[in-house]
Amino acid sequence: MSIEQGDRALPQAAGGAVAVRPRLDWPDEPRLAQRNPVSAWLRFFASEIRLVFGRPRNLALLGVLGFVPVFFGVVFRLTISSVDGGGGPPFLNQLAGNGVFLALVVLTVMLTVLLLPLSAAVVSGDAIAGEAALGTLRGLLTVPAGRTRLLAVKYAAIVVFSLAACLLVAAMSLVMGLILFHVGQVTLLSGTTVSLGAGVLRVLAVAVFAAAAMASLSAIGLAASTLTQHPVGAIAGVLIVTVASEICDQVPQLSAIHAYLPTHYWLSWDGLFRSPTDWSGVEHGLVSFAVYAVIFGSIAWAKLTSADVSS
Amino acid sequence: MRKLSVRTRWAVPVGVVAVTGIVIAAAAVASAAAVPSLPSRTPRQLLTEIAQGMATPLGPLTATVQQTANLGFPALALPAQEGGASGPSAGPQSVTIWYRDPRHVRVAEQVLAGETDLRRDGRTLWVWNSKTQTATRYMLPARKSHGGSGPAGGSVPGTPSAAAAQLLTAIGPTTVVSVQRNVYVARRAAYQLSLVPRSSKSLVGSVVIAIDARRHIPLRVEVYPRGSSTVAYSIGFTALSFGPPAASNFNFTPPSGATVKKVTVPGNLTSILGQAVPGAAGLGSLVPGAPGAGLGSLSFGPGAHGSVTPATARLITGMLAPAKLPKFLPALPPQVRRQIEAQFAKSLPAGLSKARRAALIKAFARHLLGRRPLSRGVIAQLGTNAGPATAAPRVIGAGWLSVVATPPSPQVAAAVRLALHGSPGAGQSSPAYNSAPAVSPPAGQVLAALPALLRAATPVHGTWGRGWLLQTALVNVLVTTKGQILAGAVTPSVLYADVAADAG
Amino acid sequence: MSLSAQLAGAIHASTETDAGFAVTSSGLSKRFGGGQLAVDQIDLAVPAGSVYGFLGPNGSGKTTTIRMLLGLIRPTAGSHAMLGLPMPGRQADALPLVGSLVEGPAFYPHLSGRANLTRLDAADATADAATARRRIDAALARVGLLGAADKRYKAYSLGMKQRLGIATSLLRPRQLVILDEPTNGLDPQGTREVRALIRQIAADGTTVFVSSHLLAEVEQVCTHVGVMRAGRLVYQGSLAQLRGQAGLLVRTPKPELAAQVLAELGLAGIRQGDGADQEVTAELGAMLPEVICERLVLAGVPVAGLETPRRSLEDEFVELTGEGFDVD
Ligand SMILES: Nc1ncnc2c1ncn2[C@@H]1O[C@H](COP(=O)(O)OP(=O)(O)OP(=O)(O)O)[C@@H](O)[C@H]1O
Ligand SMILES: [Mg+2]
Repeated sequence: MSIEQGDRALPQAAGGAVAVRPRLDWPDEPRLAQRNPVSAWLRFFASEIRLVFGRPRNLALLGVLGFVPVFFGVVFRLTISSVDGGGGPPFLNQLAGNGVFLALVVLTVMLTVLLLPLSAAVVSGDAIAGEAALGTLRGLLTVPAGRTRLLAVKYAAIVVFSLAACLLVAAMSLVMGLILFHVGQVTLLSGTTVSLGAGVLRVLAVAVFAAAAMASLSAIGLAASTLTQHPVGAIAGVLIVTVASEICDQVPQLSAIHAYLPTHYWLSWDGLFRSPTDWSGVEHGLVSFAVYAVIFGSIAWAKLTSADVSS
Repeated sequence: MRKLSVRTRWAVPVGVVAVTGIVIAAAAVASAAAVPSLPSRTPRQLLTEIAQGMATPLGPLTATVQQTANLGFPALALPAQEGGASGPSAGPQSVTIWYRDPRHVRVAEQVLAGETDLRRDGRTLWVWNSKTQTATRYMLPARKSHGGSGPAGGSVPGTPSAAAAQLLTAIGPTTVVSVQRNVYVARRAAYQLSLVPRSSKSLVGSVVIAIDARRHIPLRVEVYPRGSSTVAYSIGFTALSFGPPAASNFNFTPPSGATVKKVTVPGNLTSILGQAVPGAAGLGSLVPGAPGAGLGSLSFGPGAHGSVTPATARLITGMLAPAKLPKFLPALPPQVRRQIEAQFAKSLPAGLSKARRAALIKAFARHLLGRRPLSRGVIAQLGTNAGPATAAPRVIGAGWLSVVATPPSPQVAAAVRLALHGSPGAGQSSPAYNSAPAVSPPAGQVLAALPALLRAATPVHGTWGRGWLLQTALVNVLVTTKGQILAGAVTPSVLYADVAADAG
Repeated sequence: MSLSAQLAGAIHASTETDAGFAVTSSGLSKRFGGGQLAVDQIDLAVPAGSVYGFLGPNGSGKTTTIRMLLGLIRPTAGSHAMLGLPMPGRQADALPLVGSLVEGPAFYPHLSGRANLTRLDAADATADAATARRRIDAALARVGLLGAADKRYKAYSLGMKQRLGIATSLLRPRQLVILDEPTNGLDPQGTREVRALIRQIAADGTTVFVSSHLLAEVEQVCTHVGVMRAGRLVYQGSLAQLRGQAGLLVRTPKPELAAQVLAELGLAGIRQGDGADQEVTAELGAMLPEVICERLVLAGVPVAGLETPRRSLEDEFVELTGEGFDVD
């Protein structure tokens, strides 16, 4: 009976019911085994990762991000004598004494001069709008990749990219710090010291925190990406939001809303360099990032799952 | 995936935003509206409890104290904290305190990527500044017996209830004392005691003190200007937990690579400073009478400087004072510095040779400028005969209407002229303040602050003379052409009257 | 009998009316934001196993219809089902069985043809990773791209891109393949190959829904056609039906006699050529030409020629969609 044959050839619907009676027999084609949803997700995710990390533009971005610590390391090495404790980015005053701080200086600089936000904006703003512009979005949706699933996989890959970018910057900075500067026990802001290993761990924690900040910004980028078919528009939108938020954060008259700005907690990891470790900044930051990610993630979801794809 | 309508889908982000907003608003409302139910108290009962609470030594604790000043004119009279963690910003400033006993204290002022730490471990006091990477060690003088960590004797006489009664009688004629709605401060249930000046000439609308329901210590003091429901000044705990902090908070080893300075504090130096400096137009709050003296002391109501100084405020300023000293000294106004030097000269033994005397004075002056720590020789010469200070700013009036007034000073008068005309020698014809050219001011914080102060002030005149009046929500400052500065939480008419009375 | 088989039976019973159709729609309409009614209440019925040519001039709504069928855009009104499954509710179950190429190929330019197919296969939650390589190579081979499989997509010619697009619909066994203008940009050989491919796919039993404005393409491979005009489905049926009955043309010096014989035979629509033509035409109907020829000869009509001409599809098409060149 043809139904029996078809049962094995067809995916099982969620309820266990067979979806369609096949009206034809494919000679000797591979049987569609009941697919393990986890492995299917992983396969799609791996494909997305390959896409994000294989795109020449993104590789160029990572290259620039990796080069910045080298550049700053050399500049600071040459000018360190003229750098005094007063001005400059935080932790710069400790750089001469300990190269570990190069990572903190570079991460701070790259967060504030929009280099890391830019890369997060490029990857997230491109996520959906880029596929729409290429026309590949309709291909994915008719596969069907599933709109919610596509969005989830996209965001997961963006988070991985953010993490990779921040860890790359931290790692390159640590290497440059090791080469160019004296390295030893790490003096915390409170004046106490921790071992080099513990210091490096804290630096990596800062990189992860910065990645969380970028992942949260990427959620805004993802939402922007579903609202337009032009990736450049989405990227510009994210950067405008970032700059506007940073400006508002500097205006004392707006102090009432400072804590609710998306960029407010980007540098609030300094508590990790106090003794005893002050987690409150990190905790507030992570909560803020998560709330922004959920809000804009849900906007992206609502938009993408209800949008007409006519690109 | 079942088909959801577009509207249903958009309901999700709308719902997320709404929930976020509701949670934020509810948290704000809950913290503002949460009223702990406590047995009711009369003002007298509360004051009695406070007196009891203050009589009990404050146990070990870890706390965060936040101070907010919203005077309508940001931190003008406050000196910038050089090299300090915070700038002269008007935002809330907070410090974290680890306290075991008066001799084991750590106070940290934390700002973004910076920290100033004061750690006291017995006689050793370390000040650490992360921005400059400097650690300064002060060897404090051997302690005179101060009765442990108990309250300063004078302010709480007799039994607590007697003290309360006494306090009420003392402030009764000038102040309406009442108990207000209970609140939570630093997550602790607290009563609120409200002090409202009877005089309409006071700028203070009310002073509200939150008192811990269990330990009977002040948790927060808020000052409201007259006719406003916005807090102009508040200081209070934002976090408070009792229990001994880790010993690692108190001892300190300077990190390698840091600049280490060592200073030995002579027995009477702080008292010299304490007498010479306070009241110099706004500097007073930063240099209290003596570091560590006032822990747990309570001086309610209109105090000597016309403002309420609760134990918490005293606690902070008292412990922070040594931290501020090294940063603050180099920027002393020259005339204040000369006063201190004069005090120092007077305190030297009479039998010294002229050259020796001059050398010691020079060494001390250099120390005052922050260039060099005091040598043993200078310290040795500092006997106990430092006489009481004279010619310090005075307090005119009493209670809520008290005004701090500096004596007429030629330097201030010259600085005023300089700020307004660009020439210290110009005549005293009343100039329009806004035609004032920007002139680099003479050194010294008060004088440095003058141009800005004058720019914000309006020229006034009357039978008492001419001057410039700076009005803020809580404080009015009058600078006269004679170089007298008067400040108080009072209406301008009180200041004018005081000038007239002072001159007459 | 297992529970799932019972359920399957129940579902079949409930969708019995659709059983013979791969695609059905009723009142399917799309009005775009601008207010334009791109598709106006069309009732599609694509018989299972057919090759359905979806015809219409530019802008008549073919692509819009296909997008709605595939769940890319929401219909403004109406409903449709694919393979008997209501859309978009059962989209996730239906679409894996539907291969499609919508409005030309679209791929990542920096990836090779094979990598692009791998990417699409990875996106399919129901595809088997273990057989991916084999299936992808098979699909590439079927469209003749195996040799260029590792070239970057951006280095492909127009025709190669089109072939890669068709290959995506062949990644898995399908029950329905929807191709939107699959021969766009192909050379004559390519066009022939695509035709052959469509025949091959159809021979496997797969329903093919192919949109085109190239009549020759449709004429040669389709069994059924639907004709769109300005958003409306103006004709739907088998190709033979569209063409209608063949005609009969008799060339003879005695047209009157011939007309009389044909009338005796009961043929309809007899017309005598005017003047010198000496032709008689009629509708052939069910009559066989050889029988007519025999009767004419027996009746003494000198038959100079006898034809059974059919109307060209182009004539039909123009008749249905109008003569104008301008897009509606
Ligand atoms: N996203 C859109 N927004 C607004 N109008 C659209 C959109 N897509 C298509 N249309 C309009 O809908 C009508 C039908 O377009 P469609 O692409 O379906 O035509 P088509 O039959 O595929 O034409 P062609 O043969 O040229 O591919 C056209 O008039 C077109 O302008
Ligand atoms: Mg089209």
